[in-house]
Amino acid sequence: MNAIQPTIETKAAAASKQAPSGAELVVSALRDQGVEIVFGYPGGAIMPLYDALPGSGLKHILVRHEQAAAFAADAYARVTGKAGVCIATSGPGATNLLTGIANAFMDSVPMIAITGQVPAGVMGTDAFQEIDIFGMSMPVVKHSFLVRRAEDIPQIIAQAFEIATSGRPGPVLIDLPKDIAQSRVENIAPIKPKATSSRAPDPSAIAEAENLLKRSKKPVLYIGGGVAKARAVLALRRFNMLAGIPAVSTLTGLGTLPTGSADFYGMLGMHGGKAANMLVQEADLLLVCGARFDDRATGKVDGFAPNAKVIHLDCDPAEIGKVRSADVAVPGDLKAALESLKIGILDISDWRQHVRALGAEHEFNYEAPGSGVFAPAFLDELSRAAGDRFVAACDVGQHQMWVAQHCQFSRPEAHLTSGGLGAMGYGIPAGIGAKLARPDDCVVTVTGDGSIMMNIQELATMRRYGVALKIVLFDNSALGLVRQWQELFYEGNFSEIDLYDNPDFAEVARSFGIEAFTVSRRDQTTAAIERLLNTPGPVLAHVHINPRENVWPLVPPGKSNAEMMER
Amino acid sequence: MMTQTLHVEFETHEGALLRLIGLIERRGFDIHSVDLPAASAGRMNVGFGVIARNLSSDIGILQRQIHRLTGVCRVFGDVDGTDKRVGGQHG
Ligand SMILES: Cc1ncc(C[n+]2csc(CCOP(=O)(O)OP(=O)(O)O)c2C)c(N)n1
Ligand SMILES: [Mg+2]
Repeated sequence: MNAIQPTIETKAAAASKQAPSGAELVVSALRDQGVEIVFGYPGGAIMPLYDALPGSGLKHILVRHEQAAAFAADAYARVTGKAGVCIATSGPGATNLLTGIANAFMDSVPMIAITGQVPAGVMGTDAFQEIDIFGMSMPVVKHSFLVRRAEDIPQIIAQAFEIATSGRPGPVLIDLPKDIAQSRVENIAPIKPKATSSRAPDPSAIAEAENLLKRSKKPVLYIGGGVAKARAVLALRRFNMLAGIPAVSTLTGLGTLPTGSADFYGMLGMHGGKAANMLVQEADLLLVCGARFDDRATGKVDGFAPNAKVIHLDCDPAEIGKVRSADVAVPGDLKAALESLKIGILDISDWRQHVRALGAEHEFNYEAPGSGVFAPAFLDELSRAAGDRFVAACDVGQHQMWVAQHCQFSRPEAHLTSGGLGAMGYGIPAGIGAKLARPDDCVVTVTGDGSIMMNIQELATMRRYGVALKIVLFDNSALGLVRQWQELFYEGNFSEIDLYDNPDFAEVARSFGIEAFTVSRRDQTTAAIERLLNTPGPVLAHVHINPRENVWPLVPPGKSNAEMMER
Repeated sequence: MMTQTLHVEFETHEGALLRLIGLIERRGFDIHSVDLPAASAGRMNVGFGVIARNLSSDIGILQRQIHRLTGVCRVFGDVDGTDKRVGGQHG
């Protein structure tokens, strides 16, 4: 009575005997691109791809909401410089990804978003879970593909990675109908590599820039997120080591020059430092590198740096002159441009002395009344204790601005923030993406009691994969940043900002299996930071802060950066 | 306000026309007319009559924004012409 032994075959082995399916082509094309981790969530139309995942060598992280897959892939990309990959099913899966795709678009982050689609034959019939994600996502992608033939898949994926990572990076969407993912492919279209050239800087523009710089008495180096994107951080550091130009940074440019380094005066703009904004206002020349004059940085554009000429270096020619016209435009390879700028020693010692005095005069004061935790001081101490491996993944609100103002960043990847989109809910998924990419870094998500609720389900993802992310939750029982604006600009008419009925977040975390503790007094700060940093696994510190604390200084909306309000 | 003409030569990938029209409208221009000859050899050369919605909308910037779309080969118009072969970095 011999039972018939079923032949146990892996999917991959079974598949190797026949022509590959579209889904298998996707998986092998991702492997060819060096992808190791993908973030996603399955569903009907994407099932063929999930069928091809086991045994493929790709590590799939199952998030608990597609938005988190996109945010995690975004952060993974920000810290590695490689494209992050996220996957969702058609319809609601795809629409849930959209915020994360938009986030990557606004901050120029390379990302590949793969969405399932209903079978090609029923597209256009309002089939179950059919949504035109190709159309919906158009304004927030760098490019997109709708796969019409399975044999094109290797070519499309190669092109998608090329587009996502070259020039000004951005997200690329690939919409994959289910039948195409399932169909077997005999003849695969060959991959035609496209040569992308990065444009060398124009020598005459460089010469003009050098001339302006040499003549300037009050130059300022204005750093944006584009410097790191162009892999020009070292080039910029070298350039300014010699040039010694007083420098400021946008929110996304933080870390390009290490916090506290000589000649660096911190963030400019709405919640920038007073010294940073003042020196930009006084400047006679701005050397703008990889920045786009975002309104949060410039305040009222007409009043911004009124006496300054502008040299604008950016890989994207469409950014030059968009908001502020440039006296010298240097489109193209930022690294090459910085390396070719030769200006010798500038005669600006009076200016440097003046801005140094400004910097000293407007240093932040970490004294605060009362005995409650003072978030700025907490963050300052936390980032110093964590050292050079520190990476902050922020949510959005007052706490996000405090991170930008008070943390020490040794490199641009140390500061992960939803800059252009300002999307609450970024913090925890971003922390997960970053920690998975860089397990040896000390990744800390700084979140608020409003923001954490936007993706709190991802505590389950942390737990499942043992992601040793540290979470600092600043709880002011409010949508604090909105409350601050209502207090200052809407005559204290507080409307729908009160989160008095928050849950006990430490209990919530514990119920997900995450270690957690609560902090409410300032004298517990150092012990809390030690506990956070010394806990080997995931941990959450629920930190109560004064609900009436505001972010200072502040440029009121619509006002010039010269008109800062202070505490 | 004055109508300006933009000519865009692009590869006829799925969604290419929609992408162009969407970009032009989103970046502050009304489309007043479209001259749409048949595609040949996978390329199309479309003329758009556009009107800026406000004075600060700069058609030169719009040209460069169109220019950076994947699959756009050439953009030129009444104002400063931009050619992909000499223009900014592709991608
Ligand atoms: C998805 C999303 N919805 C709404 C907003 C508007 N918004 C900006 S900050 C903020 C309050 C955030 O509250 P919390 O996370 O508690 O941070 P706090 O300001 O209190 O530190 C809101 C509602 C946003 N940025 N993102
Ligand atoms: Mg709050």
